[in-house]
Amino acid sequence: MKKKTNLGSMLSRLCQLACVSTLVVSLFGVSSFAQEIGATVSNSSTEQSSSRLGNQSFQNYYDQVYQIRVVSPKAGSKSSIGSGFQVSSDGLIVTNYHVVSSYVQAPENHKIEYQSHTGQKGALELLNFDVINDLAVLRHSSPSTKFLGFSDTILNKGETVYALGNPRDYGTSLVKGPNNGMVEHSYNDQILFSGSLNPGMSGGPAVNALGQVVGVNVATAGSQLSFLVPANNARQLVMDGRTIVKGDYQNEIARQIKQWQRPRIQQLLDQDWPVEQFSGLDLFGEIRKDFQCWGQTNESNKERNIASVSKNCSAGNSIYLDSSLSAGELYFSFDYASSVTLGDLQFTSAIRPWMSANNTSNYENSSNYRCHVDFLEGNKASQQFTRATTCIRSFKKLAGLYDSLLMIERIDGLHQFTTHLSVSALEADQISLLNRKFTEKSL
Amino acid sequence: MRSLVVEISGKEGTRIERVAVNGSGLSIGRAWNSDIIIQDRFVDADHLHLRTNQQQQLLVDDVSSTNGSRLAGKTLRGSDQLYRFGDTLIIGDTRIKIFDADTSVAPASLRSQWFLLAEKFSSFRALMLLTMLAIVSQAAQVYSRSIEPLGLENFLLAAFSVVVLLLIWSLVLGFLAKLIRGESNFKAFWALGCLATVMLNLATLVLLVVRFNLQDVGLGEMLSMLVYGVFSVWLLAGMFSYTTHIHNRNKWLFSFLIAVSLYAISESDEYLKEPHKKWMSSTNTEQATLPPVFLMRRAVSLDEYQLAADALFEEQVSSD
Repeated sequence: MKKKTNLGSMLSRLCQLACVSTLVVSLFGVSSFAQEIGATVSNSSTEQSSSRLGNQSFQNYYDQVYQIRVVSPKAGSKSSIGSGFQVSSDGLIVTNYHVVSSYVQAPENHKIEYQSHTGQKGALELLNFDVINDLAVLRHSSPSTKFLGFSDTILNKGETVYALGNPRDYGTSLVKGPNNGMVEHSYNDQILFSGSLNPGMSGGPAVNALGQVVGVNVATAGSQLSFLVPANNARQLVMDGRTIVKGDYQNEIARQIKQWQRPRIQQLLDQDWPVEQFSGLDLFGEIRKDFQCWGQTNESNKERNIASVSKNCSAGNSIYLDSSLSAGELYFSFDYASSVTLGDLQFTSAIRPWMSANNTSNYENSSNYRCHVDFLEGNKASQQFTRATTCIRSFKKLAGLYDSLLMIERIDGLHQFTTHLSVSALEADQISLLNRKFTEKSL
Repeated sequence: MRSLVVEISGKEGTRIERVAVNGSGLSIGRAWNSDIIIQDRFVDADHLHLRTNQQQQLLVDDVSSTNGSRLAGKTLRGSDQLYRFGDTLIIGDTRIKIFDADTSVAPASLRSQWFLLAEKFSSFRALMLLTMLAIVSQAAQVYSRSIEPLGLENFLLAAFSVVVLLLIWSLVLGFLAKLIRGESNFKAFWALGCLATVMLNLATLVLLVVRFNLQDVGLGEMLSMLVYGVFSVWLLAGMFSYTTHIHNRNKWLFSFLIAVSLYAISESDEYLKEPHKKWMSSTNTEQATLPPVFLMRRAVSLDEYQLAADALFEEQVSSD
């Protein structure tokens, strides 16, 4: 069965695309973007006079933004750019993990550099990162005397937030927009910010009207839909004070993912899954607030040979590790198919069991799927069978983590009911338990 | 006195004469009173003389002919040259070979089983029946594979394509057989084609049922390769029997070698692929799916299933 992409997963993929594209230096025409950014700048400058901070004082905040570049010495030029800001007198700089991800994945082939507003350049040292919240802490060799402080007050809905960063290497820009509170369908806290963040602004500070950091720019889903990491996460990472040893990056990523997944999955195992009807069956759907479900039928297709009703649900979080690797996706779907025109043999011929990973990966990062297939005991009275397929692949660099695909097909005469569960980057025991609960709940 | 067999090959074809050589010898030439008459305008009236010596060996003598003679590739010079049985003598445009009539000939070649098979279906009725069987098996195959409702036209098309393919197959191979073996064996090829169609469709169906019950893509692919491999060798051996004169053992050997090399060529791409090219983000499981009646395998409980599925984690660790 081929999985269908729905709007929900499209949305999260869009975000992913945006995350990725922040790393890539623009290939688009200069003029079109100059227009876009020009509009942003004039917008902010005309409306700023009404805010507590005047144009004059905001000048200082522009100066606090550093451009962060990951340079590949072999290629002799930057391979990714982002923004960052200093948060302490001893030169700690906060940015996104994804801005420096190419360095984390291959430290031997990359260097991290900064460029200040004066054009001064220098080397940065990676101290700590948080792949779950997409943050990184770097150390500046010659710290500036000025730095930004974190906000202690609660950010209200509707409050204006000023995001700073260097979009596409055109120069530091300020984007103003309201805070819309936390993103709803997300397990992790993320601020929904209505302003256009552009590639290159990732890792830049988002400040309130008092000039205190309330978030870190992280991603966009396009047209004024942008996301910020809450300042508290960044503060915690800075306070943590740890320095991750260079050779230990992959172990640290594995540790962070395990630590994040353990309670996230345990909660799903412990809690009840509220019953939702699907095609007359007692099933489930949005089992937690981070899940979103979409349904579709092929009723509008008048020439269909098989009538199909399907529903798919996915959790809103995906951990970006590298342009070729993401982890942590949770996805499940139900599909009910009945023959309209086909006979027994033709109906089953049309079934091509097939599954594909929901997370991005490649040969460097994942093994091939290995599968186990068997028929499950069911109702012996009627003429039916239940086929179960479990496929597992491991992360080559992240020891102890696996992706799993589960599919259960029940064929009963001219009807077929298929359930599918796809999970990414879990430990073996949790995959086993989750697959079991899913199977029992959906049969 | 020796009894000889003389094979004379000229422009008009080959003829064989039995002659006896006595003390006075034999004359070969265009003259009507020659012992062996050669009708060739480059041969003299009295061209060659044959006689035996005391040791009963055959001696040949060119009687100062206009165009000369050649023996075993060399010009015949001087008189009374020794002739060894089987050597080729050339005079004019004619080749002569002489054998001792007393030596025994090779035993008769065995007509192969393939021709017995062909004879079984040589009658028009048997061929028609076989053709019908092939068409029915093809129609069944088309039906079981289709994922769309089928009309009469689909089955007519299947029947038509079977007949056209059989016709092309029999004509092309028949032509080859005429060239190589000297007989077209059209009916034999037709029967072989029908049998192959029936067997192929039957094998495909059996494989589908077996693979559906196995649900092991590696094992299933191996089984298919084996079945289709044996089938190809059988078919090739049949083709060789009706087209050529080669011996039974060589026939099977060649068929086997051809089948293996065809398989190797078709699969070489996959084997030569580097590991990173073989990586896929999708799963590879048995595609064969049939209605529940075809399931003969015992279903397992959820506990049994989970135990086996959990073993995948260990496999992953050991494989990397």
